[in-house]
Amino acid sequence: MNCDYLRENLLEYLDGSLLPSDQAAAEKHLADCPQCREAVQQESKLAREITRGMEQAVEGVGLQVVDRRRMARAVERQLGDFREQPLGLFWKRMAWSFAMAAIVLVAGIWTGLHFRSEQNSKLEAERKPALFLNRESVIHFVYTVPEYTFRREGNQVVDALTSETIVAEQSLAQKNEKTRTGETYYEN
Amino acid sequence: MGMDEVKLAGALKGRDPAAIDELIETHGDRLLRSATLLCGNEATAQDLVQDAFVEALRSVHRFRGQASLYTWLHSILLNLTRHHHRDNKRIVYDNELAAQETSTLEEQVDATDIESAGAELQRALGQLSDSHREVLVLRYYEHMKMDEIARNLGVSKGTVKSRLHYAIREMQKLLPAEMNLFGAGGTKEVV
Repeated sequence: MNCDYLRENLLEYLDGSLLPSDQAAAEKHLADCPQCREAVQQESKLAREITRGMEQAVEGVGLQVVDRRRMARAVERQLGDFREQPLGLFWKRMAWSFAMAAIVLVAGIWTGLHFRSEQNSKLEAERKPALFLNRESVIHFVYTVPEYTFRREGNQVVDALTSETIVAEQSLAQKNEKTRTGETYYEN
Repeated sequence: MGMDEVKLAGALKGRDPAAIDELIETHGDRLLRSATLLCGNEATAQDLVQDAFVEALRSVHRFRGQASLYTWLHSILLNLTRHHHRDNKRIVYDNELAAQETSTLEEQVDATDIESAGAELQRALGQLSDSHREVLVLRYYEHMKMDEIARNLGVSKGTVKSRLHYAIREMQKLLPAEMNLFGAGGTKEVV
């Protein structure tokens, strides 16, 4: 430890914020160096004098009771609902969130129920054909059979297209059924 | 942080209505004096202290209790004061405080008059730059250590030392020689 180091770190020494080893070295140096001891005393005196001057400068400054009340009310006004009870304040702040959550919940429940009823309808539709298992289905056929004919007249070939419409009716017993995308296919 | 402080901080976080009154009761005066030294005008200082309380209560959930409530409040106040100075560019220092304690010119230069010494110091502080005034107030009124000042102002310890050195030199010029507030010693300049 030398004089330069101590003078440069005088404030830290007075703060007691030097490393313990440096603090001890400074103490040892001060014991042997009257100039540095004088510098420490000067600095301490300076600090005391400035502190005293500042305290005197604001000696009469302070908040009267009325000032404190006014300040407290002003602070509360600026803070809004500081005086509200925490629970009331909680509900007030969360009102919108809860409202939105309730709407989403109701929409979710409605969608769920709606979907479920649709599913039930489909399942019911699947089950229903069992009731008709032993019934007969009558199928009407209407079809046209074309007939293309050729005949020879002298050196020419004459063609003619005729058709015949056939109406038929047949009774079929149901053997099997499959449900696919809401349509029912019957297979013989 | 003492037990009472722990309770008060807890009450503020729990939004206890009485806590705000207690906070102002406990720390209002000291903050107001510090603010008056920092901005030089008691009315402005009251506004700044009020704003500091509002800011503190708005962010009380962030208070971890690592420093005392006063230290935390003062750091908010210092921040607001710096913003105030920045917004107003040139600080208009109120000499009312000085006038209250100084009735005649003779009294102003009377170094033995304790009251006028305070008034003179207040006047001289008002003529310093914001950065020089800040370090003097934090060091000699708030009794902050060098690393605390550096942390509060967001500068290095070297910068704090340098500002202190120049601030004291300026005060020596501004104050009447008879007051002899500042001796030949002091901080060593670090650039």
